[in-house]
Formats: sequence, C-alpha cells, structure tokens
Amino acid sequence: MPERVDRILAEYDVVRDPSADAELEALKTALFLESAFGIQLRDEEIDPELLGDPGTLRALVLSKLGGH
Amino acid sequence: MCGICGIVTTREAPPDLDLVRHMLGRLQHRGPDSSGYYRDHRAALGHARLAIIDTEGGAQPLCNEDGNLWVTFNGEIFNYVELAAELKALGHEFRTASDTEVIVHAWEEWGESCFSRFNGQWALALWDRRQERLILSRDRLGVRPLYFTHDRNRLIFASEVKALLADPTVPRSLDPVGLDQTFTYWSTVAPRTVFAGIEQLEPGYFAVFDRDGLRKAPYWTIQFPQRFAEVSQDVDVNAAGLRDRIVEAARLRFLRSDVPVGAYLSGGIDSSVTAAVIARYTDAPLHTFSLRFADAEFDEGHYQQQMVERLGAKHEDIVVTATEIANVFPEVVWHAETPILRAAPAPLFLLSRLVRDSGFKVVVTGEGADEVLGGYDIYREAQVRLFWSRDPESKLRGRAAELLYPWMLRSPGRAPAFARSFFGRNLDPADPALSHRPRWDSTNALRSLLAPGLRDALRPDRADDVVARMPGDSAGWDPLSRAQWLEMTTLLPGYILASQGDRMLMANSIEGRFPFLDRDVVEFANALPARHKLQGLNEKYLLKRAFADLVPDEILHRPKQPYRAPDAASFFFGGTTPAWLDEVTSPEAIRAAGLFDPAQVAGLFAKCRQRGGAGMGNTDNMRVLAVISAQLTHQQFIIEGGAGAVDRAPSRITVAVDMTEKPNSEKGNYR
Repeated sequence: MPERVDRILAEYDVVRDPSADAELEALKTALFLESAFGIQLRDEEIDPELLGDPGTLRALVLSKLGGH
Repeated sequence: MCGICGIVTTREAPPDLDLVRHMLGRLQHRGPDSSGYYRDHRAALGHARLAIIDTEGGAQPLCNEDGNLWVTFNGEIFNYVELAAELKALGHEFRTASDTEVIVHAWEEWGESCFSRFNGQWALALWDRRQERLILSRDRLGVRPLYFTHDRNRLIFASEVKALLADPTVPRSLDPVGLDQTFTYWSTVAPRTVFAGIEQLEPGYFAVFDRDGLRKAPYWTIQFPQRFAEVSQDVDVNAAGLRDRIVEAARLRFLRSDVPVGAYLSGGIDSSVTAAVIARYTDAPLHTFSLRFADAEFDEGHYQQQMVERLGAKHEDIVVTATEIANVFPEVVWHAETPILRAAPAPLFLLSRLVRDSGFKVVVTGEGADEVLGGYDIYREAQVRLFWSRDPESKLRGRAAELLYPWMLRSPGRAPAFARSFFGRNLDPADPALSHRPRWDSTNALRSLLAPGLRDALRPDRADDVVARMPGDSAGWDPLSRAQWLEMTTLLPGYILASQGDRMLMANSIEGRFPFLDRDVVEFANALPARHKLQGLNEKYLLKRAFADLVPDEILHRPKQPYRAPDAASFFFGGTTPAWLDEVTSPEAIRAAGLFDPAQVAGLFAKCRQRGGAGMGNTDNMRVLAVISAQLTHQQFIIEGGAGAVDRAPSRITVAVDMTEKPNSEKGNYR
C-alpha cells in the first residue's frame, strides 16, 4: 500500500501550484486525495500546512487507508 | 464516406427499384462520385459513393466470390490491409483493393464475430441470398448513422431518415418520447429517433432480419474496470501507451486513403495533437482548416495561428458571422434531421464547405478526446459536487466551486448562493447519474414551452431510461467512468458525432476521421485509472503529459473553451429576423405543428427581439434554438416529407445488378 500511495502522491506533486491561494490549493489537494484514494477528510484536515507538507500528507493518507 | 439504403421483403413482389433510386437521390450529398444498386426477389441494396479507397475498383454494392453475399457499406475499416492479408491466407480471393471487400470475406469467415475485429467507423448492410437474411451493423460509438423502419414482412434502411421518407408508405410524425429525450439529453438515445416508427441501430450493435423477424445484439459495449483495480497504475507507462496508440490511430486515418486528407485545427489541445502527430509521424503534406468567429467571444484564432506556425502547415480558415449562421440554419436542420439546442452545428457546416471547395474529401479531427480522456467541464463539476456531497455541512467544501469558476473569487457575495443552487440541487451521492443531473434538469426547462397536450403525454421519469441501462457492474466503477459512460451513450453519438459531426461533414460530401475514437485508443483509455484522465480538476491530464513536446505550452495549459457559436443572437441580430424564421415560427405554424405553446413562444421571441438576441441566459438560448429547429424539423420532414429544396437524381450509376429479370437465375453481371 505505501508504494501505491507514494506513486500517486508523486504524480500529484508535479501539478501542485505553489503560487495559488493556499486555502484553495488545500481544497484542490483534498478533492484529489478523496478521489484518488476513496478516503474522506474532515474539515480540520483540509489544512494548507498539513496538506502542503509531503511528510504529513503521506502520513495522513496512510492513516486513512489503515496502513499505519 | 458514403450513403447506403435498401429494402428487404418477404412478400411476393420484389423490392421497388424506383424507390431505391429515389432513396439514392436523397443521399446524393453523401456520395456524389457514383452510385449503384443490387436487386433480387427479396432484397435491394443501394449505394451512393464518395470514393476514397480504391477509387477505381471499390464501387458498391459489392459481392463475394460466388455472388451470394452482397454488401453496401458507409465508412472505413482502417485495419483492412491486415484483415485482408489474414483472409487471403485463409483462402479468400479478393478482386479489389478496397476495405469494402474485406467485409464480405470477414463475414463468411467469422460470422457475427467479424465486427469485433474491425477497427473503424461504419454502417453497413450484408445481404445473404442463400439464407435470405439481412445483417446490419454499426460502429462501436456511432460515428456513422443507420436508420430503419420495419414490420413483420419488410424492412427498409438508410443512412438518413430523409431517404426512408422517400417511401410514401413510411408514416411521418414526430415521436413525443423522442422529443422529450432531445429536450433532456440534447438528442435521442438509440434506438429511438424523433420520428415515430423509425429506429436507429444502436452503436456497437448488429441486427439480423429474416423470415423470423428482427433480432439485435451488441458485439461491443462501453466497459470500465472496477475502481482502484485498474491494471496499469504507472503514469509514465500509461502516457507512453496512450501516445503510441494515438500516433498509430492518426497515422492509419491519415495514410489509409487514396485521396488527400486534411486536418481541422480548433485551437484546442485535441486537434492540435492530431495535427502535430500527422506532421511528426508522416511524410504527407499537412493542410489544416479552422473555424473563426466575427464575435471575439467565440473566436480562437490566436491559438489556431500559434499551432499553424508550429506545424508549418498550409492553412485556410473561415470567419463566420451571426447572419451567415441564420442564413444556412434551415439547411443545417435538413441535414441534422432533428431539433438542435445550439447553433454550433451551423459554423461546422460552413467549415466543411470550405474543405470541399479546397478540393478535399477527408479531414482528421480531434473529436472524441473530451469523452474518452476526461476533458469536459461536466466531469470536473461532478468531482466538485461529489466532494461537496460527502459533507454538505462543511464550511470549507462549498468553496471548491471556486476552483472551477474563478469569477467567484472576485464576487464572494454571489458565490455561496450560486454554489448551492447549482451544486446542491438533486445532490444524491448514490445517484449513478450525479454528473449529468444538473445538465438534464436545466435542459428539461424546455418542457415549460411545450404545448399542453404534448407536455401531458410525457412521462416525468424519462431521464431514468438511460440510467436504467447502465451496466450492472457500473456501481463499482469510478464516478468519472460512470459519467463517461453516460456521455458516450447520450451526447457523443446523438449530438457530437451526428448533428455536429457526420451530418455537417456529409452535407458537403466530406468524410471525418477521428483518431481519439479508434478502437485501441478507446479500450486503452477506458482501462486507465480515473486520476490519469481527470487528475483532481486537471482535465485530460495524461493526454497533456503524453504530447507535451508537440503542443505549445500556451495551448497545452490554456483554460478549456467549450466550442460554442452565437445562439439567439444569430437569429435576432439587430432586432430583425430572417423571413424564413418568421414563417416557420408564426403563430399559425406553431399551432399547426402542435409542439409548443404559441403564447409562450411569442413572449420568448418578443424578449429576443427587444434585446437583439444578446444577453440571453443559457436556458433562453436553448429555448429559442429548440423552437426554431423543432419547427423546421416539422416543416421539412412531417409536412414536406424530407424532399428538401429539390429531390435530386442519384449520382452516375456504375453498378446496376438486377437478378429479378429471370427467376432464380444469376443473370446479373456482378463481377
């Protein structure tokens, strides 16, 4: 499972837009994660800092998928 | 590309040859190069030819070695070279170098499974003399049209409805359910048409008609994998695979022709890819054609010019005005044979005329990429609706609509109300048609214009007709796949490939070829993970990645601009209307047709006149087009029987086989 998560997050990392509005970018990331992994985020998890950092993002997805 | 027609009867008298000639005359625009017919005691086949492959030897109808199997065929089998080699190795003898002859030998060898071997775009009829059996078949996604009407003893078929109506015994009236589908999905859904008693063969189907009646079955269906179980997950491998298949599909469509092939260039990514592939992977000179608009709101000339410079192609364009759209619109509807809710087909009619006047018979276009590779706004909107539906009380999720519509950022006061009204309506996460419900609902506002008698006759739940047909395992598909299935079942064959595609091209005797609808491209794309098509809200992600080296960045990353033309503004420009419009939408004509409420139409048109057709909302634009085009459909096909301005004679007859002159003989010259 971690391999699949890493592969999909790496794909997404390429299309991030660092110049975009941070809140909207967090929403865009949340929308992608829910679609790509079939998970659901809480409002407090749709957070620019949490979703903008590769490490915390990976940990969040894995925890939602029950991997870690 | 061509036109086909025919009659099969189990009655005593053979089919009427004069009727076949009359039908061929009505298909003359589809086949101006020559025509032909075959007749025996039970069947007659007709063919109007636009000669593209084996221009010397490929005349139709055409038969097998012993003259017992005949075919009339509209379209192209692009893998005919490979199939012919396989069939020759199996002992079949070929007399021509045409793709048509492959069909008869393939049917002999493989029977009904031959259709799944064809990679192409076709509508065809095979007549088996020994079995006294007619076989009809249509390509996978409905590129080519095929209509028929039948009773127990007789079936009559043709490429266009107007040819069926050449037979005075074919009833002529509009089908309320067909109209309702059009005023919901933008077109009917096969097998239904807007004409009562006239069917169209479903895309991906074949049918058999004999003494036991009519039977139909699919040889191919639109399929997607279960969500998260897609075979290939690697984006680089998938991008390379997609590129290989699109290159091969474009090469086949450009090189397998004995006449020059041109290419459409819209200024968007899809046609840019096909044209760039042709320029990169073939040695053939590239000639491109573009549509421009006098109204800057619709014009994409800047992007077209960029691509032309990149390609170094010989290029021609046409600048279309509102007046020109209005002038050709009656002819457009005569070719489309259905009410249309946009004026957008009219400029495409003018573009194909430019292609014909430039001496071309064939164009390659980017059609199908949005459906197959996840390009439409409807897919992006569905992602946002789904995202919101998972927690409608969320304070954050409602803002996701701003990702689609940047104007919301500039108008924060309007945004929440708009988002609720658009995204929140009929928002049921379990709805298999969640993606399409807003479009269907807004289009269905047209019902309020209908005459009370017609409105009362319609069922309230018609939209679920198509939802009920979704495959049983579609509940496990990705939501994007379900949206693609709906789009590929409704709008693609019913409007994009018909009213904007085949009909506007064939009106000027031009064949369209669509690499994105190639069998191998579609099957590969359908098997991809959804995120490789729509990555978050980034549409056609894999296509952009696969062809980043061939398309300028400005085109690759430009905001998507749906193809549109001025709608109501084309007909009410300056507050005046064309004489034909006044006649066909007069209160008397509205009452006579019985489709619309005259008072409502009068109110709508008064509003249009006052505004010169400008500034009308989306629903009012659709209403105007629905009234004008439905009234024209009624006048041209129900009152006038589809004859058009002048009933034409068939093109020069080069195949004339009549086996009825001596019973049970083979007197006709079919070699």
